[in-house]
Amino acid sequence: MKNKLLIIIFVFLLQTTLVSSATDKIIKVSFTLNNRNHIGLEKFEIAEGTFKNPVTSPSLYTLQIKDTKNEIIEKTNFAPAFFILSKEQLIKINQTTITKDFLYKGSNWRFLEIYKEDKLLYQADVEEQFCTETGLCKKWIKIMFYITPIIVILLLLAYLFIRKKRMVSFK
Amino acid sequence: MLLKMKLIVFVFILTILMTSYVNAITTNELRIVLKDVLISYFESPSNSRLNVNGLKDLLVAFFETPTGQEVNLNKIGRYSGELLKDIYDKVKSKDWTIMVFMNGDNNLETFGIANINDMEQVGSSKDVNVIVQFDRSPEFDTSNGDWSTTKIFYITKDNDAEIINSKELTDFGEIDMGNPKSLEDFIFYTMENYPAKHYALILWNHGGGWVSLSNDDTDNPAGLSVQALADALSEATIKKNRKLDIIGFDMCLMSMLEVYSQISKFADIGIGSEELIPGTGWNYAGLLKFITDSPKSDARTFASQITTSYYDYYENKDSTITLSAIDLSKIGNILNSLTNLVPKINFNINLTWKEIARANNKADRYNSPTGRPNIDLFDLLELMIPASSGTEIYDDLINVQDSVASAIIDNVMGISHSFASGLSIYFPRSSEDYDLSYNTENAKFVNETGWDDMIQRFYFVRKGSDKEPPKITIDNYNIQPEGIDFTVNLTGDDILTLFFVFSQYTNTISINWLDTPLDIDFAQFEEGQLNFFWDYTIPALYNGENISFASLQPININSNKFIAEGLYTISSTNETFSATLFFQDGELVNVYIDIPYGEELISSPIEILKDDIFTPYLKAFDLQANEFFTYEDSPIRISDGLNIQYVQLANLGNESFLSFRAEDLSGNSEIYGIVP
Repeated sequence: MKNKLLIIIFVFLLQTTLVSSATDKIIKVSFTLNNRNHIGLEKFEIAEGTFKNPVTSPSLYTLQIKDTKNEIIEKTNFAPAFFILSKEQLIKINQTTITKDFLYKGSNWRFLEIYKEDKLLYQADVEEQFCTETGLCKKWIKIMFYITPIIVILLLLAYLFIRKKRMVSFK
Repeated sequence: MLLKMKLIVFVFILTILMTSYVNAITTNELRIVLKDVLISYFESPSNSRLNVNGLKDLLVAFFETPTGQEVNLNKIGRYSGELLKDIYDKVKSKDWTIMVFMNGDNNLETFGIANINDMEQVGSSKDVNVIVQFDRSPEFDTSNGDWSTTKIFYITKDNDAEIINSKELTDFGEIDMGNPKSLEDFIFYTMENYPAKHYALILWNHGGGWVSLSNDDTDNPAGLSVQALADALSEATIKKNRKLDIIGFDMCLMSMLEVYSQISKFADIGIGSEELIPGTGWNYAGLLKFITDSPKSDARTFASQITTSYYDYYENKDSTITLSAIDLSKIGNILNSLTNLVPKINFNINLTWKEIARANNKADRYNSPTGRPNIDLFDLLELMIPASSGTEIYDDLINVQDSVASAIIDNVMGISHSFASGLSIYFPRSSEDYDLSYNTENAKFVNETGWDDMIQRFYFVRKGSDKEPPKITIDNYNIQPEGIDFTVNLTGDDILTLFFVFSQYTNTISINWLDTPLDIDFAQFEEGQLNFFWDYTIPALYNGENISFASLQPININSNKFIAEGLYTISSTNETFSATLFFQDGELVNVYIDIPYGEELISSPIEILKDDIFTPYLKAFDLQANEFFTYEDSPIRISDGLNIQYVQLANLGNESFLSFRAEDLSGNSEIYGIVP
């Protein structure tokens, strides 16, 4: 009995580790924006460190990421600066690079959209680039993500059933 | 022979048609022209189109017929010829009579002249009368003969966009357009002389919601109270024994539940705006074009066209506009459902006040000289409903919301008021802004609904519920080349907003270059840590040449549409006013200046001209006097396309102060900052 329970706990931990290895990832998104609102998507990469839920201030620009069902899964504001104030001198630049961190929660990133207030400036299907650069879209990860809770529940039910049966036999 | 027979048959049919045509005239309708007919006959009997027998028959037929009944005019048909056709054309009801009570005896005079010229682009038609009573000011506009009395015009079509060419019906001399009797007389005169199947009354002037309307600078700067408006409407509609089809307010802030609750008996549909209305007003050419093209339209269809034409006119000009058409027969349902809701909120006020506070803080609000005390009723309820699920007030909130929704016939809004649903209600954010005259001016409304009592209880509980301000600490901050990563710890009850402030100080003052609310849903947030990254950027105004820093604030919490306050100088007159600038997609879209009006200031939109100058305000602190003051940054010219740009600071400077300020629902706040 004890061995069976240990096996169940081991399987549970293994599944959890596998799933968390796929989901507890910080994704760094970077792109350029020029002063004519032209946007160039640069890269997605997995970043190190611990993710803290960020807050933003209201800004003109909003970055949205949508999943394969076209539902918004990430959203943040940003402020692109085309002027730099250095030693009381105002320097005008034509292009700036924006980098934003997000927490990957298991859904594939499909669309990346950038709005200036209500106006859509940029929309791209980023699924292929996202999958290639992050390696997070492998099928076995997706399968594990969905079947893990089911396996764990089944194992727990099985354990409870065996335990209950034994208790009955003691009577 | 055959031709003669055809002619006889034709004349016979024509006579029958003419007889039935004339028979439809009533004593009331005939009375309208009787005076003119008599004067014309006695002044010049030989030129009159009525001979003595015709006159005799006309008078006998009129006096022998009971009031309101149809007059038998068959007899005078033999003697009068084309007179009957004239009488018919003059008295027979048209489909619509549109009466505009235009009080231009103030700084809106120029706009009044422009609006009459807009009406003249279309004019009256065989089915539609357009009647305007226009009072002008001795100041402001010298065009069109510079008269300053009060005249009534029958609007006719012409192609001159500057000069009023319509038929002048009467000149009263100077009259008080803020007197209810003046309005009553105008309505009665118009309905009496220009009968129609449908009547639309448009009140044209400054409006202040429940506070007052129709201020007459020469005779009555205080204007009409809403109660006096109701009295005038009551008298006029009783005299004529019929309601108006439409009452429209081409004036600011009038689409309020308090206003409609007092006048709903006197008209079927109300049209008004929750927000200010630009001086250029309604789209008269557009709405008259519709009704003269489709005179058989019912009141709902016409009302929808009025709001639609307004939207069409301002779509790319003004993002702040709102206009709605309200079914006034449904106002009673709203009042009933509100009367059921309010006692339940009051009974549970110790619990409900937090939901009210968050909703009150976030719901769509509307400008006025005394702040933004009016709030969109539907939006307020919408924001309260999710948090009220499962509570005693939930069903009642839904009922009020449903009753509001069912009263809205049509509603248009600019993009700055995406959550305007068409009907507002008085609910200032703080007790300091609450106007005590609200209770007396709206006595019936507040007695019935208890709305004032609910507001006061809310203020009271909010004030007494939480003595402790939120506690903030900056647990950690990490200065990097791209920005500063803060970890902020926030504890306390009922937190409403967290602000981030970047300021720089000298020996004497500290200026807040950035003072912005952070995007946090505190209804969901529980005490703990928050992570905020500041990339050294501060928003500024840019005109293509120069930069000037302004305290750019989102219009509502979480909105990314901004306003900036400061001083606005009109280059042509060199006059300077305190002003609010509105930005949409980062571009300047509207300027509202505060115009002195008696002892008050009236916020009014103005045309943006590129040589005007804006001097933005920043919040600053006097370190020696220990008090806040307004710092003026460098003036910036309103060139083509003043817009928001972000400026990145290459270094913070030695005298920088970075802080977080938290406010709770009770208005308590605390600041915590660091000198990096």
